[in-house]
Amino acid sequence: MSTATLSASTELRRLDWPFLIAAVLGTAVLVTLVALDGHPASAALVILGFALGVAFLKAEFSFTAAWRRFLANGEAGGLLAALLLIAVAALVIVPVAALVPGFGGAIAPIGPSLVIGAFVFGIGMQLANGCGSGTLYTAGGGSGRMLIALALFIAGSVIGSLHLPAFLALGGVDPILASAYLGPWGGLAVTLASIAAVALAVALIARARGANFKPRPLIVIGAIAIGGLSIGVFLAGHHPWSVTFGFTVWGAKLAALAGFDFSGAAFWQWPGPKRALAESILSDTSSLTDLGMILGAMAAAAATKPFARTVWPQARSLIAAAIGGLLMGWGARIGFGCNIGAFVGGVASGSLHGWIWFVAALGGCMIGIRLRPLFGLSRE
Amino acid sequence: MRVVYALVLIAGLGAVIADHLTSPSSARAVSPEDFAGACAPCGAPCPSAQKK
Amino acid sequence: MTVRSALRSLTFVLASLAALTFAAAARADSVTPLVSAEWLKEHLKDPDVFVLDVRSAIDGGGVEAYQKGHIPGAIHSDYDKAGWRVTRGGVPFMLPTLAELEKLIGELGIDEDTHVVVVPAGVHFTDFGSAARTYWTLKVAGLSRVSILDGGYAAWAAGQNAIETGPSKPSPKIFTATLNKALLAEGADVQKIEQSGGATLIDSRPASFFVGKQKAPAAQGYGHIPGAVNVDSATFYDSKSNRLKPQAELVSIAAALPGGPAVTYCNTGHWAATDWFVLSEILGRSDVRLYYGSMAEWTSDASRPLASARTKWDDLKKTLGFGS
Repeated sequence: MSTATLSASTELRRLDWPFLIAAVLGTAVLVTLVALDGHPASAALVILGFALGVAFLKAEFSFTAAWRRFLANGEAGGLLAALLLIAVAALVIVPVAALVPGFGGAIAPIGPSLVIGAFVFGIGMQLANGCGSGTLYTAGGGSGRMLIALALFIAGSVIGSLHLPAFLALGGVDPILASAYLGPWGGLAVTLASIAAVALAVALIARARGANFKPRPLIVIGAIAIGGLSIGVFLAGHHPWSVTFGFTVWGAKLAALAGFDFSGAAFWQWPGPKRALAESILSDTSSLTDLGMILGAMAAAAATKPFARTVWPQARSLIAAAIGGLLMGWGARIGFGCNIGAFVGGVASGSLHGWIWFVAALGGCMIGIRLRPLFGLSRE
Repeated sequence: MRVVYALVLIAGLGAVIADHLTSPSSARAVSPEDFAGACAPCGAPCPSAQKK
Repeated sequence: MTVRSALRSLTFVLASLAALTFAAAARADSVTPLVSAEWLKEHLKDPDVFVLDVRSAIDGGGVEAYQKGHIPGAIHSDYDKAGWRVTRGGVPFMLPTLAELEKLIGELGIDEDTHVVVVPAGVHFTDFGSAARTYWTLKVAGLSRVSILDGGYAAWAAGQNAIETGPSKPSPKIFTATLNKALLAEGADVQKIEQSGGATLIDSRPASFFVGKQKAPAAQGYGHIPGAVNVDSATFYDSKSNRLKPQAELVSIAAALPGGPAVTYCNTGHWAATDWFVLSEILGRSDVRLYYGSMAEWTSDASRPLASARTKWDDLKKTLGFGS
């Protein structure tokens, strides 16, 4: 593989034109298709997804590495930035979901399904080296390893969809939403207070372990930008940003094309999934932002350096990516989402399930971190 | 790796466009939460509803 | 009275009865749903026969064509403009009210005893639909003696029959309408059928409308009522002879349909009138009704379902200007 010789004088030669053009063109095609179909909100979701891809890639905003560093040595900067992101989003999501008809927050029943799914997701995210958003922006950004993780993520989430009804039958309680008990502003206050409390606890743990808890400026900017963009996604899609439902739909459509019959699967008779499977991929809000994010990350990466010009990592690492992707896909469906849909979406909506997901996923991460060296991955 | 990406990109976008154009006309954007009475973004029924 | 004179009286009475019965039977037999040009030539001067020329812009004719040449004694009523179909509640081409029908029909010179022979232009299956819809409207208004001239005015003119020119000169009568609800279906009826069955819905439009590739301006959505079967009204029509197909062929086409009650519909209740006419009047099926509001009325309520094979590619073609 040749290495590109970069001239210091011309910035333009740093651009990987083919992939940059392909990413922008692909985005334009998707935007045009949905706009011509009469859905400007869908066009907005693609563009917001594109911007999220750029933001994540440029800020290298990683939940997975941040949580790993926190668990391994107490370093809390990344985790605190994530909490800042959620707080920004909550400012709009909690009140609007409570006050404006047609808008809803991310909710989920609280029970074994949530805890098991989140725990398994946590294992998977550390093996894969990326979570929901992480897989999207790194795969879009040119990591072949993460393409494999994404492929297995898609497969795992279809399998999870087939198992979810059984896990729901294990029991649980209805969602607990702060604004349902305290109104929009009481709910927001409690949500922000809970974020602050957790942030304080995290900072104290960091200090007790002698680690840094001040996020880098770039990460803070990234957090605010991503928080703002997720507000845009909420407003355009009428519910919080979701990543993994799109994967489930893509996988199911491929399976249906190959002849799989979903008419016996309870999940796929529920109104939302049933419609999503029958209708265009581009009528699913989650798919729109996912596709935009992959293409945005690709464009940002191609505008920075030669695209996908790294070597494939060792087989062990690729196997970890595959297993991690599969566990994340399955876990996200059983646990009602990933770090974005369940953690960011849930907490920013004022739903208790977001925090429970977080704690369970952290538990899974501890296991996942221990397994990493088996695949040649670092412990921190 | 570039070749893999090029193939995946073309195949992926082609699949999305083909799926879109062959799908039924005039559907409004469906969010995972686009229905009443569901208890989760994916449309799972509420535990209280299931107990009935 | 002598035996001979008694016998003579009895013979006279019996003969009269026979003659009356024969005449009555002949009179009843003479009211068939379709009449030929030969029949009309023979019965043109009958006092109860009324020739109604319904040519309009739909067949490319109208009052001008009528004035240039029509069946002697025929009265003209423009199917499209005279008020046979009205806009009600924002939905076009609906059945007029009973009062409107009494006025429309009475002013032409038709009353309950008239035997109306509806004469279309005879050029196309769609213009046959004008006659069928007019026939249906007359029957809904309570008339029992209605026929359509098979082949229309074209058949009359081709038979080298006498022709009259000049304006229409109706002699108005008092007509009292009685609504025959058994012939019609409303939106609420069809909604019930769509949800829980009870009748076969027959979509009388060409296949491209049925599958959703095309729609009429009056309809606000593409496709058909879920569960309907497609029987294009043109399948009953022989476009070469411009008449309905022979009875045997009509029977075999209709044999493919399920038995039991049926409701025909199309875009505005025009093509569907032909399907209704064939099934109910010619083939004698019982309980066949016309959903006269059809797709125009069905799609006026956005909450009602539609089934179609239309794809987003069709939508895109239309948006870009090379589709429908």
